[in-house]
Parts: sequence; structure tokens; C-alpha cells
Amino acid sequence: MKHCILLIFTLACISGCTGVRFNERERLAEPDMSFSSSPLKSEIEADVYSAREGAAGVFSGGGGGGCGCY
Amino acid sequence: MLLRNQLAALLTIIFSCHTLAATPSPDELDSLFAARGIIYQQDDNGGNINTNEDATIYEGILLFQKRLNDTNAASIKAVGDIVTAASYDDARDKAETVSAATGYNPGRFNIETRWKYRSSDLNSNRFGFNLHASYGQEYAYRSTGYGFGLSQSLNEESTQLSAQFQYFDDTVRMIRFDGSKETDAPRDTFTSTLSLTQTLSPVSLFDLSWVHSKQTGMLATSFNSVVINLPPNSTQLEIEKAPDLRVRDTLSFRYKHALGKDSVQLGASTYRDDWNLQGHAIEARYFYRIREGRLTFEPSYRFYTQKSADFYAKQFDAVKEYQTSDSDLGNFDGHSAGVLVSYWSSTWLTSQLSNYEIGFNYYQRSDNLDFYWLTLGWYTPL
Repeated sequence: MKHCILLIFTLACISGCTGVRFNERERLAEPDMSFSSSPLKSEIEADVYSAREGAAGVFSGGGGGGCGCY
Repeated sequence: MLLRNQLAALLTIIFSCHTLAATPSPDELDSLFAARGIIYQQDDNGGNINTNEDATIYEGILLFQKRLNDTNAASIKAVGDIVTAASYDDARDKAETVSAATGYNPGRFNIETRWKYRSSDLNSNRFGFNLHASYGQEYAYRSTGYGFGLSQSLNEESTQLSAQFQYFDDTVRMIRFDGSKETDAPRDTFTSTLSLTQTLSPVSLFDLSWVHSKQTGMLATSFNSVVINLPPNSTQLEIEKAPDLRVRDTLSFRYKHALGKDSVQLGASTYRDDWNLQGHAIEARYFYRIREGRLTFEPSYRFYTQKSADFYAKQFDAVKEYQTSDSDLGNFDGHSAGVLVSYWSSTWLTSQLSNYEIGFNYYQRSDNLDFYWLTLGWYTPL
């Protein structure tokens, strides 16, 4: 747990050293460059995978709960 | 390149009645209406050898989000399922026979409300906050959920940090595989998610997330059973039993890179919990875009490998303190491949472009419990 927090904190500090200006982000603003490009899409995938795999929260939030999952 | 030109020419003919316009850039506070349907089919050719795990699920989701002003938005989401699952139906039918209960409850529903705040665009390093609450009910399960999240952008929004916290106060109806009933049992889940999204260049970015979850209470599936082999040649069915505590951690990394008009997304994730179950996944997606990005083909592949929980076995020689034959907690590898086609087009409902999607995925598990699902999606900015 501590290692994960340290890793994210370190990456946050490192990433602060680099920047991409607003006027350079035309391509990044297009829908396919978002990790959640359309509403509900990743949610359905996460539901399916978490129902049939023992792991939870892979590539998405949510760590179980909220569903009996049949 | 030849294939791309031929495909583009064909689609130009098909969709020539529409004029081109840029696809809208999504904003998390924008008003929208979205609908999505899924048909899920699971074929039991393996998995848990003691249980029929055939299942068919029809799910529909509606989402309505309204931007209240420059900094606030509210949303409501409704989910409904119709389920035909052999083990689930069997437990339900037996329970209704034993209790003489009447009525038919085929699936589940869930409703969620959410409020989002994000500080004004005038401040380039924006702060965000959200609150949400949900309620869901199935034949043998009830769930009440609460949560909140915080986000902060830095470095002219090149860096996004976010934290999300969720609590589920769930109740399991204790219907056993033989139809007998016990007192309802609680299942509590607390989940925290920390994530970092970093823009690396004008054409690339990554996302790193850590999900930590703690579950307590009734964590077994109440109507699951295990087979105990008794000498010399007989067997006995016993209930599934699991520890009442499960601590779960998942670390995921995704990277996205634009390749001209197209883009590629790669991901890797690792999971472990204190039941000693381990799972590792890798994923690749390609976004093949034509017609100025209005039409996108998204093929994807995902590989998942899992090491079983300590107390998993296909069959047991004696009753154990903890025991499960649930194949979802067993050893297996999973290959999943799919394709999603999405298209932006004008609609009679609004003056904005709407997005239509159709997708198909197939998942093959090494224990022969295979399944596939078809999704249909539509959303429109309002």
C-alpha cells in the first residue's frame, strides 16, 4: 500500500516537470484520446469482467460491492 | 493505406446524405442523455463441474446528466437487468417452493444519483468534487452505496490527480442451494481509488490507478455448494464458506498514443488479495478513425491470468473451515477479443451530433466457461 502511494506521488512530482500547453492539445481533445470516450462504455466492460474474474478494479474504479453478480 | 481508402470511399457513399462536422469534444459537466443495452450469454462447457453455469442476461442503462451552470452538473442513472442463470434460478425456485412465496423477480435494478462540481474555467488548474448515492436490489441481494471524489489538475491541466471513495452497505439474502433460508447477512465494502493521468506530449498520455478495497461480512455466494467426497463411493453437498474479510489491491497502467488520425491504447494491471487470489491483465485497443473521426472501429484484445484463492478446489475430501468450488475464484487464463464500431451522426432529437455504437466481445476461459456479449449504445449531448 505504501509503495503504491509513494509511486503515484513520485510520478506526480516527476510529471510536474513536463507540460503540454493548451494550444498543443488539439489531438488530445478528440474523443478517442480519452480513457473514457463514451458514457457507460467502460462501466459495462468492468461489470462483465469483475463478475467472471476474481479480481476487481482492473483498468477501472470499483473494488467489489453493490452487486451479487449471480 | 489502400484498405483505408477503399473503406473510406465505401462509407462516404453510405453516409453521403450527412454533412461533415467535427466530433464534439467531451466535457465532464456537459448535459447529455445516454442509453446502452447489453445481451450477455454464458455457455457452461466447464467452470464449476458441480454447477450449471449457463446464463443469459439482458441489461439496459439510461443516463441523464444536466449541466446546472458553469461549475455544477447533476445526473441520474438507472440500470435494469433480466437474468436467466441456472444456479440463481435453481436457488430462487427452491426458496419459493419452501416458503410458498409467490411472484416472479427475474433480475435486478439499480438507480444512482450524482452531483459534480468543478471550479471555473478561468482557473486553469481546476479543482473538482463529486457526491453520489445508489440503491440496487436483486432477488437475493440489496445494496445501498455512497461515495465522494476529489480531483485536482496541475501544470495547466497536463496532470490530473483524483481520489474516489465508495462505501456499499449491502445485504445478502441467505438462500442456500437446497432452498433453506437463514437470517439475512451484511456485506460491507469500502473502496478507495487514487489515480494520476499525465499528458506526456501533444500525442500521448498515460493513466495510473490504484484501487484498494476492504470487504467484510458474508462474502460467500449463499446458494453455492461444494461436493465432499465420502468413502467409499458417495458424495455430500455442503455450503460454500469464505472468510468474512477480504482486502483487495489493484494497480493499473494505461498508455494512449495518437498515430496520425488513429490511436492506440495499451494497458497492464495486477491484482492480489488476502485470499491469496492473484490476477494479471494486459490489454490493447486500436482506434481506427475515418471520415474526420466520425466513424471509429475499435478492435481490442485482453489477456487475463488468475491464480486461485487458497480455499478453492473442484471437490473436497472433508468439510473445511473455508471451501469454494466457484470457478470465478479458480485457476484459469482468459482471452477476450472484441470490436466496437461507433458513428457520429445528426439526429432528429437534438441539433447536436449523436454517437451510435455497436460492439461484440467474446471471452474464452481456459476452464471452458466461455461467454460473449453484444452492446448497443447511443448518446447525445443536449
